[in-house]
Amino acid sequence: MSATAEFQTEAAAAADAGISGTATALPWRSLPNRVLVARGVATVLVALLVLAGPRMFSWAGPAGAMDFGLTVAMLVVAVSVLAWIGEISLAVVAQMGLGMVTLAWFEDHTSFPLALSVVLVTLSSIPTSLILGLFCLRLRGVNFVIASLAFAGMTQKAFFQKVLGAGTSLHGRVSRPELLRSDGALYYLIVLSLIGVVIGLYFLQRSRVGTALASLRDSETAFWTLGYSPAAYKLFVVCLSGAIATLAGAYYGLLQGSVPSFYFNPGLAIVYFGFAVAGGMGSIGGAVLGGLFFGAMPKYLEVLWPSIYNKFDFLFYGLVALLIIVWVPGGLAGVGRRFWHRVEGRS
Amino acid sequence: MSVLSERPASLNGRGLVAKRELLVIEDLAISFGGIHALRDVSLTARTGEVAGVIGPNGAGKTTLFNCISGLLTPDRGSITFDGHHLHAMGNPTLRARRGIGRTFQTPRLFRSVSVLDNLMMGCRAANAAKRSYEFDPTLQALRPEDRARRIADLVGYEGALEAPASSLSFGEMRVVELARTLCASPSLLMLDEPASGLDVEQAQDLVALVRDLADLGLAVLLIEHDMSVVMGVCEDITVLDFGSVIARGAPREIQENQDVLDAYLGKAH
Repeated sequence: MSATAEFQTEAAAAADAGISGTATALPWRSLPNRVLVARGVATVLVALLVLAGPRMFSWAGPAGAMDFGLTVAMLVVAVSVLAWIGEISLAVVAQMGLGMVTLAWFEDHTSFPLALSVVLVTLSSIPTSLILGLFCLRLRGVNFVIASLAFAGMTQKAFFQKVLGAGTSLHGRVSRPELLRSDGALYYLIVLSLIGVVIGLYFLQRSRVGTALASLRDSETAFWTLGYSPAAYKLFVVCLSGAIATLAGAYYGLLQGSVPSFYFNPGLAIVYFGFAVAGGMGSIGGAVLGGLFFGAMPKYLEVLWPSIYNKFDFLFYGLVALLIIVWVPGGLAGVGRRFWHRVEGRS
Repeated sequence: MSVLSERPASLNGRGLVAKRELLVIEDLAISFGGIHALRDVSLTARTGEVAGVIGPNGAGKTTLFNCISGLLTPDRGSITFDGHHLHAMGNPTLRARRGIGRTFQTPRLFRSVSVLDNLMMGCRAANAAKRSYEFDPTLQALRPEDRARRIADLVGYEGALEAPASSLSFGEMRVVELARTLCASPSLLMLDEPASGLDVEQAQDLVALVRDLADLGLAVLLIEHDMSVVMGVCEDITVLDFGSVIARGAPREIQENQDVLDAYLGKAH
């Protein structure tokens, strides 16, 4: 836990101790080691949810819906990670497409096992991320957003349309190994990868690097004049975001098999950015919640109410995302944080 | 804020180091469009001395700091630091690692992390640059966290180190920013209006601390509007007006200089 978080916890505990009546009236609040118990219960609940996975929602739709939700969640995490340096990239969808195309290439040209191919695909994102990173070093804010959009548009026009094809003549197919033939089995691969990514990012945020990234976001000038290199940290974050987006693309390929090039339309990045904002920009938990909600929910609605939903799918996206942004400050992460503070007894 | 009598015991008994030229600026010039922000500015900062840079608003003082710390690239002129031309170490990162530390006119703390994290960022920067603490060599042996705590004591920060930096008052922010800069173990300490936002007592303590740091071997370059601070602590003062040096000398000479009086009060004073 960072020093700030510890201070806030202590301050909250002190405040709690000072609050009379209402605080002690609830048995939960007077439980010793409340925070520890709450965390234990939450961990068990999350583990159960992860294990039950798509089976829990089998009444509402196919297992692939949850897989799709997890893939979108991973992509939204990639968008949200960039907020650590205060930037927004619309190139994540292009990086996702590159992940799928690269995995297809590995399958066609090598006999590597899937696990190795996925690792290599993730690492293959570094060169493109460095190119994007160069824009990030030169441009800021809206200028970088436009540059990343241009990069995504160029990638789609010059690369995906040729490699993936369009309409019914699709190529660049990704096939699944026998073990992952069912969507239910694929779910466990994707969810484990996502958990790995989230845990890795959690510890990164609480490490020295995380403190340095927060410092860079707060004041690049002070960071620079203190002896740190903003360029190195920015490139690191752009590469990290690119790797996560590329990994999401590889799983997307495994899930869909073949994908037409318009699936990687740069405009879609704006939609994913909206999910990241609704989830709580910069928050990893929020990004997972936002991605999962907006990724999986429409798939289930498609099955439950096809005649209504298919006509208004983008209205659903837009309206719900807008309502969350307007009515819930801090997005879904904000709701989660407030709820968790109550559980832990913080003010 | 600390005063001499309150400084850690390790600092007592030291001081009055040999003076040498650490920073030499010659004929520095920079313009933005048609505006000459600096014109043929020359000055020298020596170890063990506090050099002041004063002038009316818009005189070019902060621009000078930005050129020295590498945030701006001058059009011409030379800056030599510790015998090295600064053109050879272009960006602020390298300059900071060489020992140029600075604060800002408006404190630029890392607001989303704690005070302690701010200070430890400075300590880690010193570690990465393998720099030693000229003003207190005993700090070198300490862990970054202990070092940060000692320097917080040195500058007289009395608040909670675990507090979020965003929760500090303006005066505390100034003190913590100074502490963070010291944590990075500078040889040259550039302070941009460090007394602004401080009350009279705090400003007096600041004077004592700056004097103390200079006695312990740092070269200090000070921009300040508060004349009691400038006159109380500086050995040498350079006066800028419209980007040019209009006077240079000891505090008493500057106080009586007609050009300086004209620049501050107007010709008709």
